[in-house]
Amino acid sequence: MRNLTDHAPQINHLLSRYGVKFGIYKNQTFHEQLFPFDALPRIITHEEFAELEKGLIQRVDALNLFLADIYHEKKIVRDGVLPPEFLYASKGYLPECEGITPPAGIHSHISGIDLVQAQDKRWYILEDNLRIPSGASYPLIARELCRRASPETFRQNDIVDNRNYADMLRDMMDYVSAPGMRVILTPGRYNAAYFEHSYLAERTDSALASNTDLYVEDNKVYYRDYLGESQRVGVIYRRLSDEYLDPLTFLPESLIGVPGLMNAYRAGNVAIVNAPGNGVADDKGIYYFVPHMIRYYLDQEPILSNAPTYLPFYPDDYRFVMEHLERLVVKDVSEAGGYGVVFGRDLSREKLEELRATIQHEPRRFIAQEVIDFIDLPVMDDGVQVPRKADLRAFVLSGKETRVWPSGLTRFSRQPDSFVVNSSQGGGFKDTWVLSH
Amino acid sequence: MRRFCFTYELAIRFSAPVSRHTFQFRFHPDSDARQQLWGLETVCQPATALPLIRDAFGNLCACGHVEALHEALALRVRGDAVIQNQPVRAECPEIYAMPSALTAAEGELAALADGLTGDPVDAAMRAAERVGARVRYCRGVTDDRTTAAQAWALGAGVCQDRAHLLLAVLRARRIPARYVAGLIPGEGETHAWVEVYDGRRFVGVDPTQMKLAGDTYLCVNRGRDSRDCAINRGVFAGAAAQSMSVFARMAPL
Amino acid sequence: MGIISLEKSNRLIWLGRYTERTFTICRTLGKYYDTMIDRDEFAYREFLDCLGLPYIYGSREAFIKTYIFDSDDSNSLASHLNRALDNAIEMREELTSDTLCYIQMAQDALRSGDVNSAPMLTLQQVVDDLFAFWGSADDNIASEECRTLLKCGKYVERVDLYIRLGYSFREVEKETFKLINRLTKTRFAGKDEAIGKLQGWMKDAATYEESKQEILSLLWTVLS
Repeated sequence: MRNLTDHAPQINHLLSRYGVKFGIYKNQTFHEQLFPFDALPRIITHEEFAELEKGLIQRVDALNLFLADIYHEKKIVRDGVLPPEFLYASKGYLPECEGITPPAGIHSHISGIDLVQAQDKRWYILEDNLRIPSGASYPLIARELCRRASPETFRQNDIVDNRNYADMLRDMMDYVSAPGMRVILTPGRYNAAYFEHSYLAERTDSALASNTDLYVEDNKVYYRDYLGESQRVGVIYRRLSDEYLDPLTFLPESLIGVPGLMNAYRAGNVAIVNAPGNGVADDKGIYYFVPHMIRYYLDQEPILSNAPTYLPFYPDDYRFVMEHLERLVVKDVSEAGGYGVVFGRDLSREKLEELRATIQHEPRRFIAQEVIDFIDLPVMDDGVQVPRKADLRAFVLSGKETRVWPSGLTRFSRQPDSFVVNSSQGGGFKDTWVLSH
Repeated sequence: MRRFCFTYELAIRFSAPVSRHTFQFRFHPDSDARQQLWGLETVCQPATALPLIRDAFGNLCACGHVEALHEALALRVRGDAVIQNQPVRAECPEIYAMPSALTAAEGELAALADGLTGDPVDAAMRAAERVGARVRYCRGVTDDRTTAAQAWALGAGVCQDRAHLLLAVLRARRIPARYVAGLIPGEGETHAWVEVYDGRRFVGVDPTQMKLAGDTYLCVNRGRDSRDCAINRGVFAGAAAQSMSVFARMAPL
Repeated sequence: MGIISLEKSNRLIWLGRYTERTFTICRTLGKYYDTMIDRDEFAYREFLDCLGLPYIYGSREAFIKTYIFDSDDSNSLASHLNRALDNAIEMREELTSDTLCYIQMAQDALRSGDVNSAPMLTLQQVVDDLFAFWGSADDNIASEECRTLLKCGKYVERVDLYIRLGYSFREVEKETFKLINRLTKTRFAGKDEAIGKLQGWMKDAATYEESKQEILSLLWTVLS
């Protein structure tokens, strides 16, 4: 490990050479900054990964079955496992997607599952990201650059090669594709993850497109070249959210969408990765029901646990949350990216009261969880190792089969005592090693 | 059983030429147990392919794209219909019992649902009377984004607003009901009413004419509210203002 | 990928133009900088005249500090390079990361450059990186059409600058024929007419001298 940390300056130099950045809006202006990288990797043993892999595949398979059920028969609601209010009040449920069977029947092609490891070494799922989970490109390129800067390290350690992510992604895209080319649809340069869009386009040999490059005719999608000639598009890995995807179906004022795309999709003439409407399954409120889904659809016990979660929507949970608010973490189900997360123990008496009143007013908007005291990972800070909170985003790809990428995005908090690891809030990232035996 | 012929014409003019125009035209009444259609014909000018697709609420939708510069778009539908209006057994999606964006029962509206018990169709007729007593028919005061609560506060609106209000009231009592856009005999614009689910069948209730929607009502689109039933939506490239005119006509054969 | 959208074709052309502008200006500045050392500290004014830029830089030092390094000055070298990178960043999948990084490196070099002591060393680094960019572009860009559009942008800019900066007829002629060679490979509708005109104007030095304005206007429209 010494060898690797000794080469940290060279690795950082390479990261800046390749423009490994993410964007952030400060005071309404766009800034790009380097994503701070820590050379000390997170190490997952072979056995540990095998267990994680089983649990993640089980979870993602159940979530895909849930999505197919929700947009068709809704058996899970009819059978009383999921209360209908929860489905219909979820912002992520899009009635416009009713009855659509996506190509190959897959809804969540790329699932980003956020986990933490508690002090007792047990892994807990913190949240599922089934819409546009971002971040895979960072460890992907970091591994490439670490190998360049510190070859010794990779000669001496038996690490599973993770540089196959782009191939996995391309295989999956080809598997679900209708006839036509591969496209990555970006909302543009001023998106937080623009580096990722362009890097994955390069690595999967897909065209990086903005909406004006695409049009829909005869319910098929075409890519238009600069002289007016066109080529059919078979699969779109879109990096814009559902509500902006098609102004004829969703927000009419969207200027970044492709008009008519949903009709082409409904007609089965193009695959959209990930499927629109997935927000219903990664809603923070639906999270509570995922272990139930695993039992319901797969008739199996969940291998990976949720953090203990309470839904103020249920009267019993509501009472419990009100009584124990100071020790719980409360999450606003409508916010993402670490925003809307409040730790009861950090609040003054008045702020606690305010929070109680807000929950009372809109119980469906919140979930409350036990705070998991997750382990620290060592991080280099000015040449010294310091402990920092870190989580792991595992990437699960569903195509011909469901596969877990043998790596992941490990994000850490750069502040001591902080549990918030999101890049939008100043966190850094590490490589994630899976040992090969 | 009644026979009708009908036409629907939509003309859009642009103040300057536009291109890359993609549109979705939802006017394709479907044959089912209560109405049979034949001779249905849709013409588009400029000519373009108009493949049909069934949307999330079961309505048929024609999707067009005109790439070249044009200053107008005209769509004309004509056809004949036999309307029987014998409601048949049907399943009802649960979502029709839930409030939608335009039919949330806020404030006073929720109170309007008080005491509406018993047979859903009777309840719907009583609710329609309560709505009609407060919301007089008046054109031009509301638009396609007006919610039920706003129309209630205004005390005025058109058939669309009354339908939204009736839906809001019924859904406040968890009685499933859906919005219907369609035609009734006469000339002018399209009409809107409600279908309430009585546990086995959908029954049409017209809160504007204060009666059951019988065999003179041709259903074109159905949905949670008027937004799901929009007849035309389009996006084009070009800095132009658009003006739209609509002419609908249904006459007995 | 085998297909180039309108936006991408514009980006390729402007990427070619801005990298070339940065490159030729770096090299031209070397000439003026040398004169400014001990002969004429206001020599930079002639340079500004050639490019039609205002005398907003009060001194030799201010000229170097602002014109070379200050990206808030939209006419500056730093701004041209930023625009090159802006276009390049949106073309990563066509250029490849290995080509794109040279423009990033040129920008990093200029940003960390030494304003006070020896700016020419910084410009040398920028020129080196841009050379590497062109070499890498030739090697790594898979689509010939992409390379053609990029080079069309480059040579349009080069001929434009050479004319305005007063390069000799022989030098302009050489670059014009490189441009013609690229234009023949494009699918632009008006290319044959443009090539014919350019060949006519390059018939001899006297014709060239009379036609400079016409050449400059043609350069503005030939790629659209």
